[in-house]
Amino acid sequence: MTDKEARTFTDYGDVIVIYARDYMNDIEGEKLEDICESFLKERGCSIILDFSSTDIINSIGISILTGIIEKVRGFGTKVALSGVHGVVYDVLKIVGLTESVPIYESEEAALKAYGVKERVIAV
Amino acid sequence: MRNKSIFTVLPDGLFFGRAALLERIYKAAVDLSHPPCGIILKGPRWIGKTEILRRTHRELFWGQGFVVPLYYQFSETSRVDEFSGDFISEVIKQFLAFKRRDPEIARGQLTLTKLRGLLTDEGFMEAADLITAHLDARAVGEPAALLRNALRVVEVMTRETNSQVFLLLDDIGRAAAINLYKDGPGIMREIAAALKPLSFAASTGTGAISEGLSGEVCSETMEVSGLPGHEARAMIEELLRGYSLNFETEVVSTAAQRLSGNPFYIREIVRALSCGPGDALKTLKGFATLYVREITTGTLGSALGGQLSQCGHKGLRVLRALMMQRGPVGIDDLSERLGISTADMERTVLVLESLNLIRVNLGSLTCTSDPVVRDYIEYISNTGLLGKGIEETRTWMIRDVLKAGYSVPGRSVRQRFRQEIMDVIRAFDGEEVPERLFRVSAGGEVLEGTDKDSVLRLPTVTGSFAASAFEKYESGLPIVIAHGFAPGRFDASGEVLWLVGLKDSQTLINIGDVENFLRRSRILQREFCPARVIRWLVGQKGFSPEALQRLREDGPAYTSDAAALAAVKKLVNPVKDKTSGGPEPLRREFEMVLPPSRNAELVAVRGATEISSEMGFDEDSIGRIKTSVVEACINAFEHSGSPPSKVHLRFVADPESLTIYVSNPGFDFDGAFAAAPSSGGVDALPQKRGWGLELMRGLMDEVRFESLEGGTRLVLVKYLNAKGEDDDG
Repeated sequence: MTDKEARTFTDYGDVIVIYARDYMNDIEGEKLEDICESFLKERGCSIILDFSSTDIINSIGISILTGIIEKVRGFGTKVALSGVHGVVYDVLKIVGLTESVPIYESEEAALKAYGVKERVIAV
Repeated sequence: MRNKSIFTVLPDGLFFGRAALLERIYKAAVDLSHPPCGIILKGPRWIGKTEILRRTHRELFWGQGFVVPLYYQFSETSRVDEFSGDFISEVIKQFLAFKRRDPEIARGQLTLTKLRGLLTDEGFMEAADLITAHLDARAVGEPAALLRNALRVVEVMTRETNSQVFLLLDDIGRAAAINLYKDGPGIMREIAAALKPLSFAASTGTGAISEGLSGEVCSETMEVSGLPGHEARAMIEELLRGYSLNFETEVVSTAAQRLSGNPFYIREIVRALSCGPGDALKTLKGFATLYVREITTGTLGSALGGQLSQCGHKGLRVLRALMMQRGPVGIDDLSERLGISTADMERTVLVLESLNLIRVNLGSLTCTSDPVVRDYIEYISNTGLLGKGIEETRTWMIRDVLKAGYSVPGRSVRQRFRQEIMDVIRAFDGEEVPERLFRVSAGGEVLEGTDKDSVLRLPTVTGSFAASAFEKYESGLPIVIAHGFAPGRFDASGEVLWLVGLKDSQTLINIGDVENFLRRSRILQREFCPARVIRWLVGQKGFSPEALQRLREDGPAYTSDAAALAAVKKLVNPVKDKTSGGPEPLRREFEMVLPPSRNAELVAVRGATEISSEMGFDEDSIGRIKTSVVEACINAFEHSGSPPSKVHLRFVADPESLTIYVSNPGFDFDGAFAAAPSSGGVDALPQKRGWGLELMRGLMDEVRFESLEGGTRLVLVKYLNAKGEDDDG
């Protein structure tokens, strides 16, 4: 298990990186949604959803992911995806999410774009 | 407790399919928003109608509390007093059992007097009075009053208990034999009148009964036939696994087809297997031998004998005569031909129709017996009517089963040969090839007069397809049509049509094949009107001299055998010919049944990963296959009813493609994908739900739904070389 797979999220203060696991389905999606919601309510911070460990995403996962993005935007903060690869990228492209949300090659690239330099807390 | 049934049903492990039908009847029973209406289940004996009604009763009894399910199986009695007493007793017992949630009341042997006491205790006085009236009518022998009281009992109990009811009437056709008076008409008319204000499901084996009922009451007739092929195969395989018996998939397919998907036949054959040669379903011969033994001297034969014993000698002769005809035969013609008097023929027809062995329509008869009944009739006709020996008859029967069985796997072989030709011809692109490859006679010999050094310039083919779509009712050799241009002439005058006839058998193409091909070629030619037509016949083994002569008389045509075709294939498409230098890869099939448990789709993903990796798909394609399998499975589960049932997957690995069949037990799930969602555009978010089909379409090369009896199967196809890549290359 890589470092990212072991972690659920990394707290960079104004930005939270949340890591999706290998199979983005209803359970995983709801888990991500809960974490997002708690940070949004607590701090109204920006969110980066990292999919570098995700190999499969199903239509329910897509549905929940769209809901998360909608929710973050509703809070007036930023949301981006990172580490999207292979068939997961293909799926996001088919549904049109690659057009409507910034996607970065890696977590580092996304953090750089958000102007984050150092990690605060790792969970 | 829910699994307990008042009426005997099969263990769940022995019951397969019919989920859509059960769901349909259940919904009809509990849907009180519509006026009362009936469902008539029509189907041959042993097809599972009783099981369907009893399972519906069990579900209604334990699954809800507002509609009282009442199951009644008509017996073979012709006496109205027996029927009426039995019916009153059953209805009241089942009412009380449902109200008290105590199945023991319905199972118990309670006399009418005892039941009257129970009704009085419950305060159902009108029902108690009805029993008194019935007992009085019985004492004085008044059949009309007995019947009237019996048919009022449902209405009275409904009113007294303030309930809704759903009647499940098994073998309702037997009511036609219950007479109010000696030699009087049956009581079907009275039954139909009593059913008018009620919702019900009734089973019958005969068309006349269902037609008669549907003319009297609001009802819908549903045919109950054998399980569809995939369910029948799944049933056989699951039963065999239950007995730890080995089998071959192709033999199971043959068995499923031979047994017409009839659950009773399937159970009997597997039971016979478990008692005898356990590996009989490993070879076609093993199955043929066991099957013939079972229907001649086994339990299945005894059951068939019992059913057909009512036909009598004349009935058997009529059936055999009808079996030898493809279409309907006039009753008068048949009487004359068989020397049976009109009166005897009428009686015989009535019996055969009541057994659902024939259909009577406008004075004509058609045999409707399934293949197993036909085999049994053939056996007893040969041994009884024609005096042939048992062993001799069995030998011929085994031969017939073997012949029929080989045609099942043969179909896929033929399709593969056709696909191979289509692939080869599609690759034609102006190459020069030795003409001798297109001028073959037999045994690899080249036709006389062929210059061994001359070459043939192939056209640039734009595409190829099977001719079957244009000649739906034609038989004979499959024909492939290819369209293209003479090399370098991409205008109307350069258009060329290749008509390719193929024979994939170990016999030479004969004069009959040639006549058939020439005739159909002329028709197809008129359809397409090309500037030039090239005819090409390909036979695995070559051509008979007469066939070649006939072909020569009709004008120019190319002729090749399998070896010449292989040589052409190498010349036009050496890169794609993955099979050269080794045996042709075999078509392999894998099946999987997923239980309705969380993340069960990941088991299918693991299977898909293994199979697609081994087939040589790249990582991207494997990812796409995995995601599509997940999507197909979760949708199949989601639309498999409540509670969700198993999902069946079949992976077919061909040399060119992976095809995945996904089905649930009979529920439509194509409706789940009815409308394509919108992606929303730049910055706007896509629609949240409904992406399943779009995802699969975007990730696989082909996605389609195939209609099955009572449901839908989703088919996903991924090509090893995607079509676009082929065209480019």
